[in-house]
Amino acid sequence: MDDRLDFEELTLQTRRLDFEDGLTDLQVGALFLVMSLGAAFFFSTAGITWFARALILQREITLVALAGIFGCFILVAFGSRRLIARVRREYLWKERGEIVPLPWQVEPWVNVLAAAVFMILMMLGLWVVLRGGSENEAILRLLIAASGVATGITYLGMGSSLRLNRYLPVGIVGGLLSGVLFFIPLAFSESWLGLGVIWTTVLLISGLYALRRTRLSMFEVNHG
Amino acid sequence: MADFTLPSKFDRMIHQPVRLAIVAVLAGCESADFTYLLNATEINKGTLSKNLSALEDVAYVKITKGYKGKIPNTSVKLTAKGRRAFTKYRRQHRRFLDSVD
Repeated sequence: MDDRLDFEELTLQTRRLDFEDGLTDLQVGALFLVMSLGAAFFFSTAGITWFARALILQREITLVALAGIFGCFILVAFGSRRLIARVRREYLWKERGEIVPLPWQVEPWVNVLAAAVFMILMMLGLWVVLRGGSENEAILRLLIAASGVATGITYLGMGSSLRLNRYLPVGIVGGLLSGVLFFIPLAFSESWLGLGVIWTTVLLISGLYALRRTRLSMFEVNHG
Repeated sequence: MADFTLPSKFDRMIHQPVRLAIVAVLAGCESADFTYLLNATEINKGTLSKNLSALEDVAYVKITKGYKGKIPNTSVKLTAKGRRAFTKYRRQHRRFLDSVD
């Protein structure tokens, strides 16, 4: 053990572990995609018509199916965590040992900041719409854009508190592009799709980059 | 990093460098297995076992022995008491470093 012990770094190093190999990014990106595709369909004219028709024809079955879809989404989210744990155990962390990550990885101040920015953007948007400065659909778009900006702030905060540099561009690019969604005259369902495309792409790039680095360092360890 | 000749109010159980390394690693996760602790702290098996037992005696960590498939697995978790003690130690340590500066 090093004589000059940097215990703060030891804690950070362990906290970073869940994000270091990029698998968590790929998982969150995939969940973003599934969620946004579902929301885009559900809030589209076709989706609403289909849902209304299904409700009229088979009310109980439709509601049970809807609950089933939500249940499946949650199962997939937890299932993918187990899959990641297995991939790490059998391929990536074979020699290094295993950890169970903390249930919270974001510092409380980051969550508070992200929530505050979300609220401010929403109030600003509501004020603009109420003054007649923008069309009514804009407030719905703002909901999506503000969620994306808040997600960007969360990644920025995580990057800064965990000293994980790749989350800084992830937060900035994802947050800014999400903000741009507000200024593009899209329908609510299309904005959902936009948000999904932005965050899935950003997290996919980040995840693949980190995974490649992990594989390269594994190769170096195994082949000197 | 400052030299560790610190005031007596520091928690002696955590202040010892080997145990501090163990607790610092455990503070960054929900639980860690023995292999991870060995690699992260760079301590040998005997020293790690001895210091884990000391931490378990004061209820700062909880050690669970089990199996992952057919392979024996020891999982170590920082208890709420241990986490509180580490948070307090960090705060005191920072204050001490500030006072030295």
